[in-house]
Amino acid sequence: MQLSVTDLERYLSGIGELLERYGVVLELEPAAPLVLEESPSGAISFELRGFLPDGRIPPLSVLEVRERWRRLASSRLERSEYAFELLDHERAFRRAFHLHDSEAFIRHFHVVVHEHCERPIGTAPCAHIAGPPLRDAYRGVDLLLAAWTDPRPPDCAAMTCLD
Amino acid sequence: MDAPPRYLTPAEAATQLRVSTDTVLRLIASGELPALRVSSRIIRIPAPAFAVFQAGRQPTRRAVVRRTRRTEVTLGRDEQAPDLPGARSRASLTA
Repeated sequence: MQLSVTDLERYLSGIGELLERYGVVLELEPAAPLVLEESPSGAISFELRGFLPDGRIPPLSVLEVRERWRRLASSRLERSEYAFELLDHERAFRRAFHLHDSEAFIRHFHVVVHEHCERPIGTAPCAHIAGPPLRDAYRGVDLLLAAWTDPRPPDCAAMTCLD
Repeated sequence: MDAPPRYLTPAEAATQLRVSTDTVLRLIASGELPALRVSSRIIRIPAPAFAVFQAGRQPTRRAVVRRTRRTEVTLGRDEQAPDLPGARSRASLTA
């Protein structure tokens, strides 16, 4: 996935809008802007964090979207890392979709991406679970929302371990 | 006390909105009402999304600003990953 910086700004604002239309309450003031952060290497990253209003006070479900984009020679950006996370404290599970340390994961497991599933939180059948790459954060958010709305909590033991 | 339902079916949403199920499906198809298609036959409307729609709120795109930071961002930095340099504790898996 490659974008210009302007496209990345549009992508981030779109993800923020999607989350808010899904009812996720972002940890931001109502009119606060979203932030793209540029690191010394030129990489650009963002993080969105919010909770799902589940009728509890405080809410028991937290959702996070984080991505890191590296600069290519062409001045375009390529997504190099992602983390889409759901912590559902009410039903005591964690689901996460990750892309990071891809060289190590390719070397050891012949995969670029991995997932996490913990139920209860902190207890997992294995440290890393196999899963397909996610094309963008829209897909990541949809998968996490699908897990959150599913009447059955995820069956972590039935997933394919990498370790 | 039972937890409140986390999603509505299109038929349930139609009842609450006092419209037909076809109207709800049109709202979903047009993107006005966010919904998850979890299979070819199953559509779920997350309860928080329905609440936003029912309240007439229209979240709009926020502005985006750029900032510089002094340190690099590395996702999964605290994760117990294979043969990665440095000690990685599992304690912050959920951090």
